[in-house]
Amino acid sequence: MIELKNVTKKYNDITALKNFSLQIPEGILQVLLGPSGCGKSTVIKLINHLIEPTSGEIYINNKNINEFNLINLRRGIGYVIQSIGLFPHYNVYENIVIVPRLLKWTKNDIDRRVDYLLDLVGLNRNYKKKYPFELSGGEGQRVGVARALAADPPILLMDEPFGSVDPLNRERLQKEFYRIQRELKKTVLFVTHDVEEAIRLADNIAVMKPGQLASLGSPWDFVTDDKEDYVKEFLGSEYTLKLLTRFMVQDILVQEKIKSKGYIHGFQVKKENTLSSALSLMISKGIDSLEVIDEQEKIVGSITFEDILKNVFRDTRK
Amino acid sequence: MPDSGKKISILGAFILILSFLLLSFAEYRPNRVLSGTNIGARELFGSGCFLLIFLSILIIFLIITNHKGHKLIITVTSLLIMGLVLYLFGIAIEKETFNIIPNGRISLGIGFWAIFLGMEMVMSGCFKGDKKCILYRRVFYTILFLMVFVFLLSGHLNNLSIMKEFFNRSNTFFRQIRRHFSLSLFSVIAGLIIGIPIGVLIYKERKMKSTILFLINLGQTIPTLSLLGIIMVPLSLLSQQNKFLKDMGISGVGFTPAFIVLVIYALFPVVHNTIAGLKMIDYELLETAAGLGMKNNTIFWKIQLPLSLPIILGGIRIAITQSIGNTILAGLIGGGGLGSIIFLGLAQAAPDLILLGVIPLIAMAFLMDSVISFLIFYYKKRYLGLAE
Amino acid sequence: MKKIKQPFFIVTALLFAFFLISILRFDIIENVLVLLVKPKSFFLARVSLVEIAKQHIFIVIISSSLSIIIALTIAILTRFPFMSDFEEFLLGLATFGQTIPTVAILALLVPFLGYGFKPALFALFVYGFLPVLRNTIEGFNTIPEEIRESARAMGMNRFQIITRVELPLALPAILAGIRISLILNISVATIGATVGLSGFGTLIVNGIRGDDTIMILKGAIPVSLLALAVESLFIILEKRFRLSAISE
Ligand SMILES: Nc1ncnc2c1ncn2[C@@H]1O[C@H](COP(=O)(O)OP(=O)(O)OP(=O)(O)O)[C@@H](O)[C@H]1O
Ligand SMILES: [Mg+2]
Repeated sequence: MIELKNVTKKYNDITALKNFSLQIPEGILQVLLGPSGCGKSTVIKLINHLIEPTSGEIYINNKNINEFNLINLRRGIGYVIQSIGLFPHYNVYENIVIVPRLLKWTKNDIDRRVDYLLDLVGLNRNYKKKYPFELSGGEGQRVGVARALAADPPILLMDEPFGSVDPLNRERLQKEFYRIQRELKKTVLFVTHDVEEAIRLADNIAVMKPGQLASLGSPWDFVTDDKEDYVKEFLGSEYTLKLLTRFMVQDILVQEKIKSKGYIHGFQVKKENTLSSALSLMISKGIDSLEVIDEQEKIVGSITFEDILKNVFRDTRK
Repeated sequence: MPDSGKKISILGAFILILSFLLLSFAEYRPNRVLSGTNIGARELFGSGCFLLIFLSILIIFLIITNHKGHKLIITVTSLLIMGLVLYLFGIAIEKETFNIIPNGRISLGIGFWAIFLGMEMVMSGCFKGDKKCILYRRVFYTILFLMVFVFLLSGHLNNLSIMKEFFNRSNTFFRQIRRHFSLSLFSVIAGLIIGIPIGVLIYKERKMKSTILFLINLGQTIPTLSLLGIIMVPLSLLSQQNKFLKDMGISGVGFTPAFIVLVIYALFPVVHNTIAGLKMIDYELLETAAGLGMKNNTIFWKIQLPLSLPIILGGIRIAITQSIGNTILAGLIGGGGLGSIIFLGLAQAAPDLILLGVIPLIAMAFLMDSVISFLIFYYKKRYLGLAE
Repeated sequence: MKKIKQPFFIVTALLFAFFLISILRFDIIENVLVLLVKPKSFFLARVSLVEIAKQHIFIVIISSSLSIIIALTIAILTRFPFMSDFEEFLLGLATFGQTIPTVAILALLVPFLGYGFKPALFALFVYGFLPVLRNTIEGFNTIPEEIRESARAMGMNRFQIITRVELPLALPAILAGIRISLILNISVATIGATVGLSGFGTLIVNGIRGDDTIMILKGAIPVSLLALAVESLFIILEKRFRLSAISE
């Protein structure tokens, strides 16, 4: 668990954070969302003890970070730096294995780990010998993520890790990362200023305004109207629609409707498509129901506009 | 003053205090070349020494009680220390003790040079991180030099050995300075006339780039003295065989070989910076200019040259300071200049004569460096709208 | 790491070979020169060029090793918090020091250290020291802050950051500094003849004084070859350790 208590950080005259408090429970993916310059990176650097707070305390697993050995603390935290920060004189392999080497892993363990990580972030294994200048921005960021995961740290700090990946690959990486996190149950602080990215990944979202926390809650919590204007404005009026990207068709798939053929207009969606894409299709075709197919293109059920209306925001609408 | 500058400034002030307490400020010698006895600041300046130490402590105090306005006071105090040292020095060396022996000589001691180092440290710490730091420090040193100059002119320091050396050869001294300066300046001008077109050409025709740069770099790599020797040989041959050249005054010794070597040395910084300056210009800007219908010639004169001028000027600055230094070697082959004074001093083992040659040399290099730095600064600010 | 083209190796090897030939069998060159130059008179006494080369190289190696070791140590110390305040000052000093002409320094040292080996060694030391110090500090400064930050973030300590990140990244700049320092020192050791240091410069100065062109060339040719050989050797080294990412 990570906890910031009343943290204030001043750079000379600029107050980057003011009385900032945040708790990140173990195994949770916490997204920190906010406009440029609001102090997101500052939060991350404070947790990694790259900078000292002007006042306030920071705890990891209920222990003040000042009590940790600085070096061990950092080696136990995976950190994807905003500007990637790969070492230009190391190739991909050497960049990834920095922390395992510092921790004196055996060569065998290291090699296996690198192969695993490259597969995980979706880079070909023959990239190992490439130097950072031979990588595209997105590939570099994936190496950055692999490097942060290298020593299997329980905590991950990620500062806009997919910032320079193209939309298609970004979505893929987000999905992939979502899967990894659910599987490995790491405690993650994920910084972004992209609302959709936040929605796709977060267990919890913290919305920041300059220097302060504006609002905190699960992605669903932000659907309600009781948020202050700043938060609503920042999340945008299509927030609810964007939230549909978090659901897959299979989440609300209704099996029995398959028989009542009368509903169906003959258009199909895959069951792992998002609800927002299903909705798009309905709107563009002017219909209110779709057939759902699986990977083998076999029809497994159907969904209707009504299903979406009834099921998706059931809990938040009280 | 930024905290990070404090340590340096305080250390500098300590060097001032230590040199007043421990180092010799004058060396008294029974004649021109014999070595003599060292005299510390306390003995030389008497109670004035305590005033100097007091002023240095004041500087430390001002540094510690950090305040913006203190920078100016620190600068003035430093200048005051320098002025006081020169004044007290002048008074001290008129005392009878140093004038008993008719041929006795008194010259500057190591402490005198140490306070320059101390002051440089005080100043560099004081203006650290300031945007106009370089400008302020140049102003400081200009005032300092002027102060020394005024003291020298006033006759207050006439008893100093170096001044005696000066009076012994005052007419050749100024002639050599002029000669030194014009030799360095004209060699750099020749370097510009040859170097800038080469730079432009290499920029346009990239093919020959590495070969030509390699050749020009050769001139830099070969030791100066050795290059001078190598140039002398064919020149002396030519002048032996060709009467016309000989009548023109071109020969293996004197002005010509020195000039050629200096031009070769000036070439590299000029060519190098011309290319760097042209390369730095955004390619889109040139395309835009062409798109506006400018001819290549116009683009060069109206866009490329003005924009790369600061960097070319930077090359000229390197070339001229280097040239002023290398011109000394002309003194070895009868080409004149301050080198002839320095080599005479070396031959006669007369330290003050060496100093008489070296001081104007360093002042000249410093002055030219400052002038061109200022030109670059002014040009950037006035014509390119750049603050730095 | 870049592949280096073969001609570079060949040129370097040839230069070293020519240098060796020029000091071991100068008589061959001399015979050619005598025909070309037709000197009025020249000094036939056989000075041992090997001996002179030894002296020349000896002082360059001694002073350069001293200055490289000390400059590197100081530059590395500025990476530690307690010395970091001095970085800017040292850089300024190194830049200013390089504008002072070499002969001036040599000449200025004579009153303090006398003639011969001592002032020359000191001057060579100072002149070798400045470019290494300056290039190393500047090499460190060109490393992007985020590289340093990510090294810290991964839990490297100060020492590891210096040895694994900063030094390797600054290496091309450091090598360039060492090259400048060596070339400068070969040159200053030549000029050192004017304050009584023996080396190739002695031959040149004596040749100039005695109007003996052969003797001038006897000093000038080997020392030029030596400087060129060292320069091209270092150009290869720098190319070898330069990363395309940084250089381009
Ligand atoms: N080292 C520093 N010195 C001075 N000010 C700083 C420093 N680092 C950050 N700041 C200032 O602190 C504020 C917060 O910076 P921070 O980097 O945390 O923002 P951010 O939310 O990460 O922005 P972005 O999304 O652009 O990365 C900004 O106003 C920034 O200018
Ligand atoms: Mg940021």
